[in-house]
Amino acid sequence: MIQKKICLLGGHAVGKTSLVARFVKSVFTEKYHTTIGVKIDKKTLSMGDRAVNLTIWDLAGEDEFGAVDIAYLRGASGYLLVIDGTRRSSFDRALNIQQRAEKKVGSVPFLALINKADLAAEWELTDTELQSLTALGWKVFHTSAKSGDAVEAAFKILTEAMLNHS
Amino acid sequence: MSKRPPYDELMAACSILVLERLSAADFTAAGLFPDWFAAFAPAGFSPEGGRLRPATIFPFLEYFLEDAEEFWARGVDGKMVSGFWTETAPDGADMNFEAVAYRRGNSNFLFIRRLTTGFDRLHKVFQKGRELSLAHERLFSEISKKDILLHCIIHDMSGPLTGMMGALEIAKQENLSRRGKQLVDLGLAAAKRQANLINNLLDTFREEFGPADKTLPDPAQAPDAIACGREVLATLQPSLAMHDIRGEVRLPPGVASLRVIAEKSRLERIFYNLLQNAMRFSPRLGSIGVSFQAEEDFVRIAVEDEGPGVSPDVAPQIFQKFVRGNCSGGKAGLGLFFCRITTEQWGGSIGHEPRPGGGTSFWLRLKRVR
Repeated sequence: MIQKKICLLGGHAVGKTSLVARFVKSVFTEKYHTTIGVKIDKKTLSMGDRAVNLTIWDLAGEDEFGAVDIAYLRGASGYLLVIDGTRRSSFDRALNIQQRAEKKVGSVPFLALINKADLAAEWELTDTELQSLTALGWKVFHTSAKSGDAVEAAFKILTEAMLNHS
Repeated sequence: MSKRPPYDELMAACSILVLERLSAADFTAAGLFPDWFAAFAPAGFSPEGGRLRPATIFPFLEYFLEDAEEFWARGVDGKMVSGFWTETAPDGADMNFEAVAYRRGNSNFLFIRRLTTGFDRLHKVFQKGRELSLAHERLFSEISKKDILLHCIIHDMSGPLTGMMGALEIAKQENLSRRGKQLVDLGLAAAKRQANLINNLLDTFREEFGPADKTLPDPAQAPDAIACGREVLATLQPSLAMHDIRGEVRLPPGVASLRVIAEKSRLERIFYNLLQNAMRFSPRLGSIGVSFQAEEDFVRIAVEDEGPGVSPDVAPQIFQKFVRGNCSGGKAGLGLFFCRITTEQWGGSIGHEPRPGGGTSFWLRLKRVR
């Protein structure tokens, strides 16, 4: 079986743990539960005739309490960079984290997930800012851990990209 | 007496799994198994002499053990600690762990400790801290939205006021009775005060939310601070006279002009705000002085009044937004806030101090242009 390591990166409270919970267990809770260190989950994805065993590293969000521990990216085949659409600050933080991530693991596949799409009416991010990400060549998805929109698809697309990259 | 040394039990009781390194990936149990290990032990695993590959049980350890191998290879007694990680047991319960690579003599050990009470306490602190941080961020965002709404309302208020002032200026030219002229003057003065209040609000908004242009004003366009002070004091003379307050410019001997890094219209507004503030708190028959002092690289300007002084309750926040000192009569509490953010933007500073003999001196130091 193919083994792949995926990391979830982003500021605090952007919804990384909720995205993993939605993907792995198909559950969602409104209650915010902060992560300390890293939380590890596993899920097997069927990609055509291949089964891919994903180890998902959900890294503690970056904030004034501490920076993302980029060392945890070692061995990652790809990563999901999560941004909270309702919080402008998480956008700037994600740009900064992505630069550090690329330094650590090189140009492995990654997707930018603009999370909390169910709260799109309250988004602080403008179309111009979102377009600036695609202008950088990033693949951007609007996800909702609450409704499940685009969550499975994002993991599958990243996995596909990782398989093609290796 | 048990065959096993007592530390075995002790380690297990402390939720620590002790493994001794056999080769790069293989370990063997070096003590009793803590209770939690049953949830992760491979099917059919025998504790007695069984080999374990911890990285296959805990993916987190795959990369930690790479570092641990380097550490053990150094052959120096000591320990290396991993970060915290969380794994979900097969029964769905999340468990938190920490690993330690340990070397003693020629033996290399791996400790895996399940974190319980101490970690839970730490988690609560982080949880609370991050919740508060989120609440602060949301509150700040709400305040910003309300500031923008306020700006729109204030902006709309300024339109009719311009029309009113124009009409009063025209009316002033008419052949009015003495009483009529007094009333028009009063109306104009009130309208100007209102216009100033609105301008303060709009300027404050521009400073806070406008483009972040942090470039200093062009020294070639540097205004003369003394001329600005004089002009503003002159425009306030009718109001000062109405309150029987004397206003004067106080200059050091031989100084007639002091140019500063500033933008003229905003410097005039700073003078206007400080002088209006002084006037509001000055007693009848009191005096207000605008003094200037040339320093090596700065010009110190002070607006001094003979009022009751700044209340100690308000003093620490007096240059903050919406702080209104001892007076609440129709003021937004933005005048001194505007003075501060503007002088700071020019690389200057502002403050206040009690005057010897009573009253307050509001001072600002602006960069001097020679």
